[in-house]
Amino acid sequence: MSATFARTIPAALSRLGVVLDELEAFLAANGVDDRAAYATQLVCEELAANTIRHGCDAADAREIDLSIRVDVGASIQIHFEDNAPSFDPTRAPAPITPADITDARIGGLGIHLIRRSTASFTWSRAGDRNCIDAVVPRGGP
Amino acid sequence: MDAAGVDKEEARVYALFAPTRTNAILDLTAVTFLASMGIRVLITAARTAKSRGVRLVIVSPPGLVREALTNAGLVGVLDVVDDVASATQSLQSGNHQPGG
Repeated sequence: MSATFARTIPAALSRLGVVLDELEAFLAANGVDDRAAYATQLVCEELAANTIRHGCDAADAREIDLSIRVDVGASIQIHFEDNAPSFDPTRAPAPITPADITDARIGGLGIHLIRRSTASFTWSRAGDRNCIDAVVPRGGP
Repeated sequence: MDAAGVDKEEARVYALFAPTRTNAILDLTAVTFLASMGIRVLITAARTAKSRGVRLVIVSPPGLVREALTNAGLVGVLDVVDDVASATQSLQSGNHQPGG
């Protein structure tokens, strides 16, 4: 048995907050453990925030939208899409562990957290859309 | 502290260092979610503290938020303790953890 959460919104932080609150309620209503729920929310938050912060910088006047679909079954399958310029986050280099606060890098941290939260994390381009699939294990990782 | 909520908290965090050059405790006990935007605020605050020659001690009890800091590779870099009492004791004793 599985349950699905799906939303498509304009790329705006104000809209994202509402969706993430709804996602949190959906995960709780479907008995997802706290760790997997946290990881799922984190992945969706980081992907969407990345689109809003960076994907909307395109010179063209397109309206950028993003879609989040979360399927809860034996594991949690996340499918994320946006129509921002092509960007493959899975190719982003891993940040170097800082030795001191002055060395701590801020850029790339969100993608690093996604990697740490997922069992798989893949990207593809379909037409004008970035498509990202990620899997969060239940009861882990 | 997610992307949508971080702007409200960011100014409050930076205001810790605005009036005087004093040490500060940032209590995350009530924080239930910490994303990269929130972590960015913590990094910037810790850098500000260091540049001003003061200490910022972050209270983050064991749990999922603490794990986010660990996953970000920052627990050994930021000055993180389990509770406010430990933070107070650390500042009073001058026991300086990593971060400066």
